[in-house]
Amino acid sequence: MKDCEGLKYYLTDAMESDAKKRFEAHLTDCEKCSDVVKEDRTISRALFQVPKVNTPTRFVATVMGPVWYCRCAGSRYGRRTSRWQRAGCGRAGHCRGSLSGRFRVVYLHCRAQHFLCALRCLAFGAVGSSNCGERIPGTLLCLL
Amino acid sequence: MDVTEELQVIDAVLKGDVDQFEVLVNRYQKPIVNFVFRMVGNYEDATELAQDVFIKSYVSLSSFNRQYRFSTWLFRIATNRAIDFLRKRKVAVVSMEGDYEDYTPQYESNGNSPLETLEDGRLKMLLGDAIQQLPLEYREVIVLYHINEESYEEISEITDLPLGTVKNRIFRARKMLKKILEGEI
Repeated sequence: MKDCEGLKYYLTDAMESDAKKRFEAHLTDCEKCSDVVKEDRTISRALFQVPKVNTPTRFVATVMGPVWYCRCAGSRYGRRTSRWQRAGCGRAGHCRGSLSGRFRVVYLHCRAQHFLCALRCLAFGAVGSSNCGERIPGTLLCLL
Repeated sequence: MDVTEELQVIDAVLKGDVDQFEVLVNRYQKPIVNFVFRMVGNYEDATELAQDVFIKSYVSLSSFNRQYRFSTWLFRIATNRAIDFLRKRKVAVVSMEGDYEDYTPQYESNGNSPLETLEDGRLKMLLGDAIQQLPLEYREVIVLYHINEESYEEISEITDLPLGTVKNRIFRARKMLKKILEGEI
């Protein structure tokens, strides 16, 4: 049996308010439309109740590790990250172990590299225009 | 945090204050992980992909178009990444008996009694499975609308689809879910 005119527009929220009111009045008379709307609302309600999952506790750290790496290495993300995920970053002595472990190593490596940048900047008096582009106080804070 | 504050944070990151990026990660980690989780159906893959999304957004931050909201841009990256992942995995449809060995997400507590939780858990599983059976273009909009509770307008911007198409797809996706779940709810 064919659906009543307007049912689809009502369910897709594509009706002007006047047409919507008229259709709502029609719903009280038409059992078929009323059932279809009811079913759709049930599914809709249930979908809104699907629970949210929590993020892993170290999620932010595992994001910020590579972010710091990108920042310090001054490199583009490109393919390097997918390589981290598959087989490490490719640099000898880095990015081994579990995923979080790899990121942690990269993160620490990154901070160490930052420290070297800071020393270089201090040695050559290039305060504020270091290779890594970081301000010196911020750079020294990496040590902490 | 409003849009202006968010833009200030983005400016700070672009000027080199990397720590400010953590503010954005903290704010959007949950919506992005939830979105990707419902798209790919596996918690472990979802968290890895979500990490990727944030790193990609950091690297491409200079190309962020300020006429959109940051969340819209982030969801667009997440959508592309999830679809790309699913296409590579060549899983268009996941069976109801899909493997759940590494599917160990921690759900938010809802304060229900054990019996209610059991019933709720069954419904949760059924709906989760049913969403996984939707074709990608329908799954994407249904997750954005019902799980992430984005507006039609925002979904239209994220997916680059006309508003009418978004509404129509959401309706059709619910219709498909109804068929899949017939008699269960």
